[in-house]
Amino acid sequence: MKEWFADLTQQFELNFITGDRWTWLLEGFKMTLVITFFATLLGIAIGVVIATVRSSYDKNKESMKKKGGFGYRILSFFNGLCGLYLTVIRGTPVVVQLLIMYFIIFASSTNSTMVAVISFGINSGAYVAEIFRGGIMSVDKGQFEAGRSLGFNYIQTMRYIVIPQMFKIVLPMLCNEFIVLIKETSIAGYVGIRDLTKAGDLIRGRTFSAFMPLIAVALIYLAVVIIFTKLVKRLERRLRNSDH
Amino acid sequence: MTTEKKALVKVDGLYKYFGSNRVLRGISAEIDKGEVVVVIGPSGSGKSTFLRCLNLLEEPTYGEVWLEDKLVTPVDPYLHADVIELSKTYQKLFAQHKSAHPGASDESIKEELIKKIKVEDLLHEKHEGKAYKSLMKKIYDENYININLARQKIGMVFQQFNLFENLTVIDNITLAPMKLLKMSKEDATKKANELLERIGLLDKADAYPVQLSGGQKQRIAIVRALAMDPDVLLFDEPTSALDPEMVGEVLDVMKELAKSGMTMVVVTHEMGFAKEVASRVIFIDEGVIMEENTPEEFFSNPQNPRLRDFLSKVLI
Repeated sequence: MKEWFADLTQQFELNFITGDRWTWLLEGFKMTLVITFFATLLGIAIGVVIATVRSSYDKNKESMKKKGGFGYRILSFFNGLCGLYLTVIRGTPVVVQLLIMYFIIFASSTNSTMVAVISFGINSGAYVAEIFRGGIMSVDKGQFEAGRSLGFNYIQTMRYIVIPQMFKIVLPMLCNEFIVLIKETSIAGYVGIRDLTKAGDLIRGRTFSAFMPLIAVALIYLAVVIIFTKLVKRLERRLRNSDH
Repeated sequence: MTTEKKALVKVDGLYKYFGSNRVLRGISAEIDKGEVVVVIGPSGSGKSTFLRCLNLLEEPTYGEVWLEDKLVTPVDPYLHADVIELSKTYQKLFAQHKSAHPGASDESIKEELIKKIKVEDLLHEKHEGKAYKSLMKKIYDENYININLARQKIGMVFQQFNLFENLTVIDNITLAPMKLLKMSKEDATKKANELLERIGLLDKADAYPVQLSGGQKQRIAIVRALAMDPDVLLFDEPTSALDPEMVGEVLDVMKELAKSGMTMVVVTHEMGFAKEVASRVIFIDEGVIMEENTPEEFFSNPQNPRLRDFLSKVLI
C-alpha cells in the first residue's frame, strides 16, 4: 500500500511538477475555453440568422406564394441554402469538417485557433439554429396574432414579442449546447492546437506514462461539465419560478 | 365612386377555403359607426373565420374588406365588372358567344358571361392581359391601405386573451402606442393608467399576465386594444375560455364600451349580451349569413328554420 502510494506521488511529480508541466494543462485548458466561448458566440449568431430565415419561410410561404413575386423567390432560395447547410453540417463528422477547414479552405492561414473557432462555430450553428427554430415554434401562436392584430409588422412582432419569449425557452438548451461544444473541441489537436486534450497527450509523450495526464484531463472536463450542468439546472428552476 | 355615406366596415363577397373545406361561402355585410353587431352561430359555422378575415388574420380566398373608403384586402376582380370585361378570358368567350348566338344583344351576353365567369372562377391572374392588370393595379393603388396601418384601427380581443407573457400589464398596454403611434412613455403610461382605473385593475399594473385570473386578463386585453384608439373592436368569443363566475366582469366592460359609442363586432354565445346590447344580430351557419335582424325581432320572431332550431337549443 505504502509502496503504491509512493509510486503514485512519484508519477504525479514526474507528470505535473517536473518542468512545470502542469502549466501545459493550464494553457491547454485556457485554449479550450477560448475556442468554446468564441465558437458558441459564432454558433448563436449563425443560429439566429438561419432560424429566422427558416421560420419566416415556414410562416409566410403560404401567403407569399399566392402573391408570387421577387420576395418569395429570394426567401425560398435562402431557405434552400439554409436547408443545405443544415444537412451537410449535421451529416458529416466534426473532425472531417475541421480538417477540411484547416487543410483546404483556410490552407493559407497560419492562425489555427481562428480556424478552429470558425469550424466549431459553423458546426454548432447548425444545432443552435434548430434549437432556436424549435423555440420560435413553441411560442404560442396567439402571441404572434395578438402582435399582428395591434398593427405590428412581422419583424416588430418577432422582435418585441416572440423572440424575447423564445430566449427564455431555449436558454437551458443553449447552455447544453455549450457543454457539448466544450467536449467537442477536444479534437482541436488534429490541426496542431494545444488544447486541454492535446496538452495531456503531450505530457504522456514526454513522460511515457499515460495514466496520470489522461485521467487528469478527463477529470478537468468532467469538473467543468458538472459545474455547468449545475448552473443550467439552477437557471431552469429560476425560469420556471418566474412562470408562477 | 359617389359621395354616399360609407359604412365603417364593409365586407363584400367573402369566401374562405381551407383546402377543400369551404368555411365561408359568400358573406357580405356592412357595419356602421357606433353599431354593436353580434355574430352567433353553431361551432364550425365560420363565424370566427369571418371575424378574423376582417383584420386579415385569415386571408380571404375571395372578396374584399373595406375600412371606410380604404381597401384592406387585395382587389377581387370578380367584384368589378369593368375588370372582368377587360380580361382576355371574357373577350374570348364574348367572341365565341357572339358567333354562336348572332341574335343576342351585347348587353345580355355581357350579363350572362360575367355571371358565368364569377360562378365558374374562370379568371387566371397571369393570362388576362395588360389592360386587365393595369386596371387591377389602378383600383388597388387608389384605395389600398397598408394592412399594419389598418390593423391599428381595428382592435381585436381573443378567446385566449393572448396577453404578451413576457411583459407586465402596463407594458402590454403601452407597447403598441409607444412603438406604433410614437407616443411618449409618459403619455402612454398616463393613458394606460386611466384605462386600468376604468376597469378597476390599476393595482395590477406591474403584475405579469401569469399572475392574473382569466377575467382580469381578458379585461386587460380589451384595454390593450383600446389603447390604440381603434375605430372598431373585434371580439372573438371573449368569454368562452372563462370560468362562469368571471364572465360577468368581462361582459360589464363590454357593455360599458358599447354604451360609450364604440363600434363593436362580437362573436359570442352570450345570448343575454346580444339581447341587451346589440344593435343588430347576425346568424351565420355553413359559411353564409342565414339571418340578420334587430335583437328584438331576431330572438322573438326568427324566420330561418336553422336559426329557430339553434335558438331552441341554446335558450332555456
